[in-house]
Amino acid sequence: MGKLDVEEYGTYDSMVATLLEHKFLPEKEVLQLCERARSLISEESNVHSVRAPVTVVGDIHGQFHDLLEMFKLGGYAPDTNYLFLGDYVDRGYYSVETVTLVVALKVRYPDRVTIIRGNHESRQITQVYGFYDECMRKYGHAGIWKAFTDLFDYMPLTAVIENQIFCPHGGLSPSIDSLEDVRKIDRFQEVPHEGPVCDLVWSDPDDRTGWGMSPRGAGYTFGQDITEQFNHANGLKMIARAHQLVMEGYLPTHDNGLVTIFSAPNYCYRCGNQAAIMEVSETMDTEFLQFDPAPRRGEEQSAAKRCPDYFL
Amino acid sequence: MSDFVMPQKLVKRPADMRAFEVSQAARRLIHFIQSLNLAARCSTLSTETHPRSAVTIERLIAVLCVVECWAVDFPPKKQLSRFGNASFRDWHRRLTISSHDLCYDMLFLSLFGRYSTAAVTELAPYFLQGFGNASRVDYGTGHETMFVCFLLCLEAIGLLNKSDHRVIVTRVFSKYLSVVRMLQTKYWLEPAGSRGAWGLDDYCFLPFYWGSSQLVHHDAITPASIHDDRVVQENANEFLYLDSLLFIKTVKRGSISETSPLLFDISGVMSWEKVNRGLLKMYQVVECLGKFPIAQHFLFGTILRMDPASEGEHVSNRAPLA
Repeated sequence: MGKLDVEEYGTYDSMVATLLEHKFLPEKEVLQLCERARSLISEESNVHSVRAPVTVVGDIHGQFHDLLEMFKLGGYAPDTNYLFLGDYVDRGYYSVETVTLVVALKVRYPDRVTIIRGNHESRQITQVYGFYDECMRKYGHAGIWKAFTDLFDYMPLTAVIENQIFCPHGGLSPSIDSLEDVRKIDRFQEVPHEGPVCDLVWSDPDDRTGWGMSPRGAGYTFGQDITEQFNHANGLKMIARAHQLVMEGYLPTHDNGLVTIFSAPNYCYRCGNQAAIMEVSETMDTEFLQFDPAPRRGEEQSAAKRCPDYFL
Repeated sequence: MSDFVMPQKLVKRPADMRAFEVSQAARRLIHFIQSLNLAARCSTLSTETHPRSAVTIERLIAVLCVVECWAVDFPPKKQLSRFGNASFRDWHRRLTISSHDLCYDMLFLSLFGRYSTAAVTELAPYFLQGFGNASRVDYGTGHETMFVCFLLCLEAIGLLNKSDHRVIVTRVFSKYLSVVRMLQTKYWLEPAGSRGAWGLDDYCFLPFYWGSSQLVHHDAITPASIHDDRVVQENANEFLYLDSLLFIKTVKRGSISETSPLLFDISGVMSWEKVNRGLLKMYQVVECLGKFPIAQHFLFGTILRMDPASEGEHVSNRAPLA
């Protein structure tokens, strides 16, 4: 029940086509998709192996139009292979559309698309940062939110490209020394408040050496020494992660031992940042492609006002 | 009045939220916010004259101008990462060092020295918390609430009174708003706990609540007028609601229906009166007081207390059910 049968391709092809046209997908199909995705990704390792060439994508946060812009630039799956580093939802207006498309691509092209978990792929965080509100508003009940947040528990925590580039959403953890340590984690749960799973999705690199307290209140900060030690011990060339807004869309740090990739341009509609994706070639060369927000239409005439309960 | 104390945080875990909801502090705060709301009805920002007790008002505005000017001394550093600009910490450090003195100056005029020193101990932390968090470099509705608590405390010790309420909104709060907006844009303060598109606003709430009160009975501007750029621009300097909307339009790119769906929805509500009542409920339940991430930073002392409101004590605090 993991991968699709050939007879099922048609259904999922049309699902992807509908989503790419930014058309509404009926609730039943979304639920079916989540079910299918769960059985597929639950079989994947905590450190999902990815082959080059592949294009690595950072935070999207519901910026659906910008995701489409990114596909225009980077190519569409399955012609381009993709590795998504999490944070599909929250804050942006189109989290439902965004996460549905990313998951549909995963189900349709499981060997060409990889999705891992970000700190926003969590019940608790999505209730505070918008995805829950969005599901309630767009579907009138929490069923879609529940289906997706249940699915989030099964997403792989990290990926590794050709055993050379390690890709968590956030960063490293003081309780993890090797990829083997990551593989041993039991990940099928809500993101905990502390421990290795929490750190992988929450931690940030820092200019100071060693481990530090994170101002976010979850995960740690880690210095160049930690990055170098981890890369050396695991035979890695680099860590590629997302999780932090960077003005150019990508930012190599720690003497190129780590790169941050952020793929939501003009984050939250007001940050003025560029977005970027990282192309990794067959020969493991990396290239960054930057992009700006998709041109927006004017006021959306189709948008219907709904009166929030408090104003009835 | 009893002795003053250093205020402290008492909401430690989500289970404490129930006690917070019925606390004297929450009741008293809502009562104060509602009273300012009524006072702001039909007011405009530029035309309000001073009441006789305006000395505290003038000092408050002067203090806000002082802290605003400090920002000139701390230009933003060049940096590429998130978490806002680290120079905010330098500005905030000066605020921390000076907050007692600033409060002392405000209090000194009306209170005897010995008394005011103790009062400053309790009041200054509210003032300080009104300007964001230095370690996270963020700002949100919880900080806005702390500044309003500071004003409430000033009233509680007799430095402000009911006749000041209208100018507290039109002059003091609008000045405060311009200071925190300057901080937000200059230092790229992270919106604390923002829902992005799914909150009313990234940073503030009360300008919308009190601003909608200003517009109740307005004969030309309706909730739907926010879609008319000309109306918004021509009236933003008089009405907080439109001013805040214009600010969003300046900082966010994209249509209001996408960047701020709640404000878009509210533009479909029939009257400002309904908007005003609904916003109070939102403030209490979803956007501010009902949120644990905000309540956990709430400060309690002798003026704002964690114990339950006693019988008859601000029983009118509850928002009327529409």
